[in-house]
Amino acid sequence: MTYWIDVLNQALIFGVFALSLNLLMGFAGQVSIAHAAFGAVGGYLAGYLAQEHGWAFGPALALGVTAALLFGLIVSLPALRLAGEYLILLTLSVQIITLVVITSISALGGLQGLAAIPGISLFGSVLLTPQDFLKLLVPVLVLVFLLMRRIAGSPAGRVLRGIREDELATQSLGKDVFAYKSQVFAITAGLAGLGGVLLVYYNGVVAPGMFGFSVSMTIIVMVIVGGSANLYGTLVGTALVVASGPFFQKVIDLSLDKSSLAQLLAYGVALVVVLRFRPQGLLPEGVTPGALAGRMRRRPPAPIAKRAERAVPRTAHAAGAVPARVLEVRGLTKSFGGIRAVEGLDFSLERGQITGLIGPNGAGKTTVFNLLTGALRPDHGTVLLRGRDITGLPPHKIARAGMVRSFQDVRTFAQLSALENVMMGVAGQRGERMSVVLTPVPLGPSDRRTRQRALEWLDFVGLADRAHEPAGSMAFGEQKLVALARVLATEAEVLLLDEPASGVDKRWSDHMIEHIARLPEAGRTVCIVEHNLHVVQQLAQKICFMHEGSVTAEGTMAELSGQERLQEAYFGSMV
Amino acid sequence: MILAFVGIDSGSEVLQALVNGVINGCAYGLLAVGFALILSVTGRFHFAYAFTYALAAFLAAVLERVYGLPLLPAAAAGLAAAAVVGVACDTVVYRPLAERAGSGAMLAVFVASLGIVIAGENALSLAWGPGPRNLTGIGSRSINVAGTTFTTLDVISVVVSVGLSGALWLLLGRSGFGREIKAVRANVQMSTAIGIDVNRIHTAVFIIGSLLGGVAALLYGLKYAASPDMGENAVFYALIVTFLAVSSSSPLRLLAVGVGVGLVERTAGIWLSPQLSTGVVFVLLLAFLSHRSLRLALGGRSLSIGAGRRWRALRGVAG
Amino acid sequence: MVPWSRSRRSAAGAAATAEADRQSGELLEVTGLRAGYGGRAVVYGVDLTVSPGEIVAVLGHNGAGKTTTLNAIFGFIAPMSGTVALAGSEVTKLPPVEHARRGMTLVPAERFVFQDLSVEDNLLLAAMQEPSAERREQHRRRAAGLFPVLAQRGRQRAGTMSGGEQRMLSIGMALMAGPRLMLLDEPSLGLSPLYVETIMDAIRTVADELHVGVVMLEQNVAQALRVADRVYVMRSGETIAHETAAELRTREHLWDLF
Repeated sequence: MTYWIDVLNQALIFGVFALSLNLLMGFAGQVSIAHAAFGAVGGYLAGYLAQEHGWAFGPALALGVTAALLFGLIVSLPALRLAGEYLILLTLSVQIITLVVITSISALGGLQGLAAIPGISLFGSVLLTPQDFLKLLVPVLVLVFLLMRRIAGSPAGRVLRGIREDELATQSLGKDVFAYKSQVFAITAGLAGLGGVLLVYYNGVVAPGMFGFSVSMTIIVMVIVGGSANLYGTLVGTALVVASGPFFQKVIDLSLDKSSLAQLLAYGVALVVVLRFRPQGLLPEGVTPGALAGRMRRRPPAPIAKRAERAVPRTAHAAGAVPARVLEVRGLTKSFGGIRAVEGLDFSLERGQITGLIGPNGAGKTTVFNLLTGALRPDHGTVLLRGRDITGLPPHKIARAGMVRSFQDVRTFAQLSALENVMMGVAGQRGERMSVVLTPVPLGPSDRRTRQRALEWLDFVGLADRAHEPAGSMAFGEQKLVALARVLATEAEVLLLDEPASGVDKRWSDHMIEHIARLPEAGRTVCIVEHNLHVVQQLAQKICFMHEGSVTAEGTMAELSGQERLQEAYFGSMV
Repeated sequence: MILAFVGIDSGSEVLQALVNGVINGCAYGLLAVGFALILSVTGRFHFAYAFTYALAAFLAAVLERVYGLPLLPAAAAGLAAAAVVGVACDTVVYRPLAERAGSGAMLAVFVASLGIVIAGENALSLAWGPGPRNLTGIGSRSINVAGTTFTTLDVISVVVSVGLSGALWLLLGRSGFGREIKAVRANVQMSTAIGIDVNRIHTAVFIIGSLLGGVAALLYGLKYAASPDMGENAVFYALIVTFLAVSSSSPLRLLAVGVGVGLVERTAGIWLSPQLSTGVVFVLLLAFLSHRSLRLALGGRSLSIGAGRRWRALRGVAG
Repeated sequence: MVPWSRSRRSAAGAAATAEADRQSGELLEVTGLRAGYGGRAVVYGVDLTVSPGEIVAVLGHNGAGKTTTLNAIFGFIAPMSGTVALAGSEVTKLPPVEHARRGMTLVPAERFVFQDLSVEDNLLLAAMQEPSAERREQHRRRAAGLFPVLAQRGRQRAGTMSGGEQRMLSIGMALMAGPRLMLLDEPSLGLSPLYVETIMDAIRTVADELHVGVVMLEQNVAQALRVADRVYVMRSGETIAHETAAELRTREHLWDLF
């Protein structure tokens, strides 16, 4: 009986590791092989303080967790701009170096570690047997689970998932992506530190082997096999992985040594097999008791007014003396390694107008959008939004200042529902701030308001009845509409739409044209980049012709098409 | 006196460090040549290189010690096994993964290859125990030159490393087959367009890369010992040299950078403990990654826009 | 040289030269082509024909589906429906290697040479589909005849040549395989007017003297119309016009086609 409780305790402790890693990897999309190393920081520090300096459990735990959290914060700094393989390599190096450094510090016991960690005395009684530890570990795991679930289900959690799906799109909706990444690294590292402390106290020893590369890999297996971005799945995955020990020892009757080898072999194979055949894991994202109940409870969508009668949600903009020229660009210049992409560009957007930006291929149109929205930093020039200088600000600040863009390749968050996509756009959500999420403030009411607002925008583009479908499974034209609703939901006054009608057939491009044409009604100022001159002609009141990095002509389509030099620039000289 | 101030005992200590640096560095270079070939031509982060590396040496050692085979057939069997497993990684695991979700697939390939390493190492341990076994069969005498000591095995190791790197350089530069490999490395779309069977080139490259790594492992096993997890350290050397030299460089340049890393490591070993001086390599890798991150930060803050790249393609081609 | 990694045309296939095609009629016949990426169509039912020695231009705004059409014809993407026939035999579902073997070459709009390799290596590689050494020499002389710079700069790394020279190399490479059909994606992209004229003239020469059929995607309408025989105009994935170049040249307004 004690044997099984011991197994359970191990599962509980590793559950702490795995749940926190799932938040980092499954929800936020940051693949990390350093999780055991963060545990090492917490465990070693607490163990050292307890053994060598007689610290009590509470303070040692607190310091261990804090140290791990800070370490996670430090590691997040170079990690902010790395993705994919380079992030893995970074975390892998951190994992190795941490252990190398720890084992070289003689005070920490070198390769042998420390073996005389005192027991935990809680509320007077000392925890000795596995049954005793159960009383501590079960509440801890429950608390960690509830915390992870709260974060994952909050608007902040939604932003993390957005970061996972498309970091750039998330940032361009006004979210400070780097801040979120630092926070999630720190929080999950701190929780790994908690796991490390518990592991050390439970075993009474701390040794480098407890936190090595294979331990990090084991935790990854728990997360991936159980189900990425599914906390319940992680519990299942952890249980399976931990149960493999008894399985190999009792069922297959291997010795303890052989059993550990067999377990690791099984983990490796499981990882490859799951990635190859069922990458979403046993319980995929969204298959949770809460979600399933919600689906059953869901009322049929409210009858939607016929499209012509659908009211355009008005956007209240800041009152006060605002210039008629909402956006003013002067002398914008950007070079890429000696090549002038944009050269002394002067450009402006009049309030409530749709302006078209056209020009031959390679004229620099998308670069202009990137410069305006902060995705690229201009070499020279000024960008004034409603009279305020926004030149050189990062994308999320420009979005919050009132200018957002859509992307030519649409960039919807594929695994999020259409409604969640649009909810991501809504600004000013209290629940998006991690500091709010970590306090027991009820998030329900404000999230419901966000949901309602988002639904209105989704309805505006005619997709309210598809609200709960994952965006990635929708037709391209529908995704374009979702992306449009998403930028509309930001309530930003200036919308830069990059080829809104491209890549779809005539039926869809007509839809888009219809919706975009109504935007000035809703108080928006729009600029579209388009290659399809037919579309531009239908929508734009003013057209700017861009050639070789600057705007060389302005006017209506009729005025521009009459000018021979523009015809030459666009089609080449007809000799 | 200056030397003593800096903590060096004698000039010969420095010389020995340099000699060791070159010897080890050649091994690192050979490792990197194999790894970089695979990475640059197929684009796969073949971390399982760590496993094929260990497999070659450990299997050879087992065949030699447990089954009494002479060195040559044992080594040949080890190399063959490494090549087969390397190709299997690509055809059975990487290719199907890569054919799926384009952008997220490379990540899946890396994580899968980590799984292969864990599984493979432990399979070997289960079968024949985790204990290190050394390879024998090449007599090794000590040589003393100018106050430094090395062995004939070291000399063989250096010659083999340089020779193989040179051979690959010749293959790539002087043969039709090598030309096709370079073509796939440079531009997969054009390669397909002119009729190159890209999959076959991938297979060939996995074979060559795994063999090169296997040879490096055999040399290590002859000098020290072979164990199932010997690849974990080695692959880091392969990685850091590959990144510092750029994965698509010529084999000779990779070899040179490998020697550089070896020299840095051994020179650091004058002051640091052996463990920490190994840590120097990982710190180098960390520094590389942080520098890359910094470069991305200073380069205009673009998050994977690719605008600059496309611009160069379009406008930079102006006649 | 290791032969096992090469995919060569059989001797019998090599006999089907451009001369033989002159008698057979339509070199390329595309019917009802529907193609796209990741399950979604971008091109909705395109028809296209090319005869030997004819230059067909495909014009249209950026994003109209021209490159997708070309990629589908060559087999880089599998068509969702419709057929592609080369000299009467269907090649719709075949991979690009098979298209290359049967005498089709494709020159992409970007990254159209092996930048890291020498001009010499580029040409040698492009000649993979030509089994006869004698004919390879013939093709090379022809390429050098059109673009002398290719003979002069054999050892130079392709990536260090100017854009126009690289484009010349790409056309030279296309010739090395002795093709029957050339698919060119925006050959004038990013080039100065002088280079554009030279390239276009060279394409016309190739079509006239070698009876190679050419499908040319272009943004530079004026230059394309100068050398093309027939023109298709695409918009939003469909063909909206199909005229002879002469007819299009006389049009008042090109703007409404874009």
